[in-house]
Amino acid sequence: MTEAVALSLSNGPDSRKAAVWRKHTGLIVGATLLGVILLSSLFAGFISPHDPLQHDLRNTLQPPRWAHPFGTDNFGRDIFSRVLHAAKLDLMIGFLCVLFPWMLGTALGAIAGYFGGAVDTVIMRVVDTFSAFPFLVMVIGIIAILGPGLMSMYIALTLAGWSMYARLVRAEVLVVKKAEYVLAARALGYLHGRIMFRHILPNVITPTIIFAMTDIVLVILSTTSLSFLGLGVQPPMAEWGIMISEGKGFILTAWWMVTLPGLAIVLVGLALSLLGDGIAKLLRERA
Amino acid sequence: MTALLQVKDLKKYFPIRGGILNRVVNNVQAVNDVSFGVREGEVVGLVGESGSGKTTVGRTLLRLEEATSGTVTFDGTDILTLPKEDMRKFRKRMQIIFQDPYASLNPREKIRTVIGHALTQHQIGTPEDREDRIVRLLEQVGLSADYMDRFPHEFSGGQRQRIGIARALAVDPDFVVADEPVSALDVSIQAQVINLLDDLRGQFNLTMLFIAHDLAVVEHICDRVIVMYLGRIMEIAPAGTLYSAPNHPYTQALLSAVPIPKPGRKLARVVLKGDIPSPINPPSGCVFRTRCPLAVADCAAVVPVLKQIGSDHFSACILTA
Ligand SMILES: Nc1ncnc2c1ncn2[C@@H]1O[C@H](COP(=O)(O)OP(=O)(O)O)[C@@H](O)[C@H]1O
Ligand SMILES: [Mg+2]
Repeated sequence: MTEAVALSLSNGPDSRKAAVWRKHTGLIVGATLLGVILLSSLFAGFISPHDPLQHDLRNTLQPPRWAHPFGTDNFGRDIFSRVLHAAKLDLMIGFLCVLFPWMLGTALGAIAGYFGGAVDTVIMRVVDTFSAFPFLVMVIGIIAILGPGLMSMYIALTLAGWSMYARLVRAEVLVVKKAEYVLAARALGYLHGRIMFRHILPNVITPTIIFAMTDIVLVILSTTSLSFLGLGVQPPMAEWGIMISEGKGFILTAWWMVTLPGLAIVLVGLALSLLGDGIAKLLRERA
Repeated sequence: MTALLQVKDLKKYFPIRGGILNRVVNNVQAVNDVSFGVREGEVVGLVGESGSGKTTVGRTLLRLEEATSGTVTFDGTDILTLPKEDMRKFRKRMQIIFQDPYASLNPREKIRTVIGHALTQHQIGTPEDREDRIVRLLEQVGLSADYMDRFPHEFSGGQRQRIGIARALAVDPDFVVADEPVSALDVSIQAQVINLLDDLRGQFNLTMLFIAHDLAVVEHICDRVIVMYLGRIMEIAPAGTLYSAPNHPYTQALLSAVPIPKPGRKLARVVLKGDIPSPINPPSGCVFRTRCPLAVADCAAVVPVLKQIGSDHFSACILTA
């Protein structure tokens, strides 16, 4: 019976679609989920029924119902609206805190690998120093020095994250710079800039993007953790970590204050993981 | 006739680093005391088993590797000591064709860019006629101009090798190193590419160093042949002489491995035993002695020098009278 179904599937007109679906289920589900989250965060201003910062002291700690789908918090703020606005902030922080380390790490790793010698030694000693500390320990340490806040968090996550990219890119560059097409470029007297940007970087970038796709999940989780601890985004801004932190005192009387922002984090993490793995698979097949 | 390219005592050691201090603990002696000349318009073969240092010689000549010591004089200029900026301009005169057609083209560059940028880098032609030049070059290597906007993955190995040849010839060089240009190709295509190089040699007035790992390939195209083994030159001879009267035992061994000997060529079949020794600890004296069927005790004592044994014919063997 199952065999017959499988057979008819593979012969049917939709068999190609079915094959793509089977192969890239994770990618499709992840992309769709993230797409929905992204769109609703972009249009948070239109979708959310209430102002995320507006107190309403007559309607505090309301359980989810039609007027407040996710309930209200202890100040009467609409949690659904706050979760939506927080999505925009958390995704943007996640994106930037991967983009900055990616750029810094790629640039330094490429320079180290390409020029070698003393330049390489110096850069790699700095990389070693930075990767000697556990990620969160370094992030919290840097924020402790700079003081809590959004800007500190950008700096801390960049400084704590770039060394992995530098290592990855350097290793790739060491391989590619020996490729015959790079030797051909050198034999033609091309300048370092052209060799780097046209011949080397385009051919080493794929694995860094695969890594960044997984890194962004970690970064978003760190962002919310830091805000939960009061080290990142500061109240009264709507941010998932802050919301969970504010809700933890009411966990027995108003479960929705903690649970629903938590669910948002889980969904984003799931979407990004599925998408990241899917893209990694796709790029590896292409390469 | 004076040589266009003169190589003297060329040496290339690759350091092996180790230990916690990352110090040089040993060297790969890839090229050792290599001296030879290439005359203008000549095609010289450089032959030897894999690992004998042929690629390293070719790349060191173009300064794609920096030599450990020695001199390379090209048309009167000592190029190994040329400042980087002068060398960059000089590169127009010396080009290289690579062995692996799949690794020698950037997968992300269209053919138009591959060739076009060589022209702009060396300011060849006006921006308007560069397109025509690219078309003409493609036709000269036997490719259609329609291929200009395609990427390397759309071509076969033989076509890619033709693109690599066009790239090298775009700057109208005087001298070209062809590093085993057909070794990676199907046997059926090898002859086509060799014939192409033979044609282009006339059209572009080329002087060439043609690297190969067996003697069968070079016979057709080379005027003279250099035989290398484990970083050193064993024998240099005009192609005809090398095939009819090889002197060095290593050359004889290589020749007896050529599948279809010419009728009338009488050679004792010499089969090499064992593998090529490590270039980290090459044998003392003659590096070939460990595999030489004729080796005597004295072979271990001194490194034999290249002795002239005939017109344009040199051999490095102490048994040569
Ligand atoms: N970059 C390098 N580092 C260390 N050893 C090398 C390097 N390039 C070549 N060699 C060594 O030098 C020797 C000669 O290599 P090569 O010139 O490629 O020989 P061939 O082209 O005749 O096969 C080999 O033993 C090879 O392993
Ligand atoms: Mg080689």
